Amino acid sequence: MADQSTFAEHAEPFMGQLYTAALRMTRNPADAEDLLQETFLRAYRGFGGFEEGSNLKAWLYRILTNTYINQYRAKQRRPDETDLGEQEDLFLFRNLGGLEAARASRSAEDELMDFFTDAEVRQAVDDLPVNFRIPVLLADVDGFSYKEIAEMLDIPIGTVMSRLHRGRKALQKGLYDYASARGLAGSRPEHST
Amino acid sequence: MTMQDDQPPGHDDAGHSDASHDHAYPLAGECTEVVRDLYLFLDDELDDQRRSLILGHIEACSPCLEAFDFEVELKQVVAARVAEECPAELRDRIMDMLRGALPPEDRA
Repeated sequence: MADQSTFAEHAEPFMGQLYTAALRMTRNPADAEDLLQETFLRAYRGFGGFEEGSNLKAWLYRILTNTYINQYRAKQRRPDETDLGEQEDLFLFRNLGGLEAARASRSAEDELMDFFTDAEVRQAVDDLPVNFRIPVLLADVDGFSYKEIAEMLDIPIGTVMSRLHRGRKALQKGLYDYASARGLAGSRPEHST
Repeated sequence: MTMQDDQPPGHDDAGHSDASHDHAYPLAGECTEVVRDLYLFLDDELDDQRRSLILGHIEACSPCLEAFDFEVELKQVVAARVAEECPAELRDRIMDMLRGALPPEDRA
């Protein structure tokens, strides 16, 4: 049994990460604020049931994710079954011609980090259908294991893996399209020296 | 649609003994399996045996190593670029709510 009076102190350090996750789930700041507030309220009320010593971050994310999905489902008229299309493996790597080409298109010391803007990466994530966006966020931004994601979303690990696989490829395609729109990625480079 | 649609002509070199070789797509031989497992590796979801096999491969195969490096960096880029600061006003509001602005029945 966790002591409810200590909840605020334990949970506060995770607020920033949870805000980012809430923002990328809801895709707008007003809804993200509501979602974060609701998440902390539910977590506070349920903190007595939190097993001390277990993973508080995962527990909070589970509440965040479930709160969002329940609200989202209530608002949705039809399920989000967007077809992502099928991208090849290493889509972005191959189409940008690898790190060196990505760097060469700017300056020699530039990293891939500087290749995309905040807005482009956020938009590319936001463009993913929710069923794919959430697993990608949980894995790539928040570093959860497949098992943890499966438990949070109450889906089998195999489903987590396939959504991650397809979601990441679609994300790469989206990033590539933004880079192309800025003229930073041209035609597919030859992959030979 | 097949994966071969607009690929440069591939070669049939199935191994990776020549560390200076270039990847042709679709990939051949061990590279295929290594790239297939790339994200399992990066996500730390492989058993030790498979993990060390992949480590051995990317040490010897520079195109695979380059692909791995790219994906590692990309993962870092995504995580860093989406991170946003929680507005101080929201943080304060939530902390105030938790620290006593709750209705009495919610207090410990």
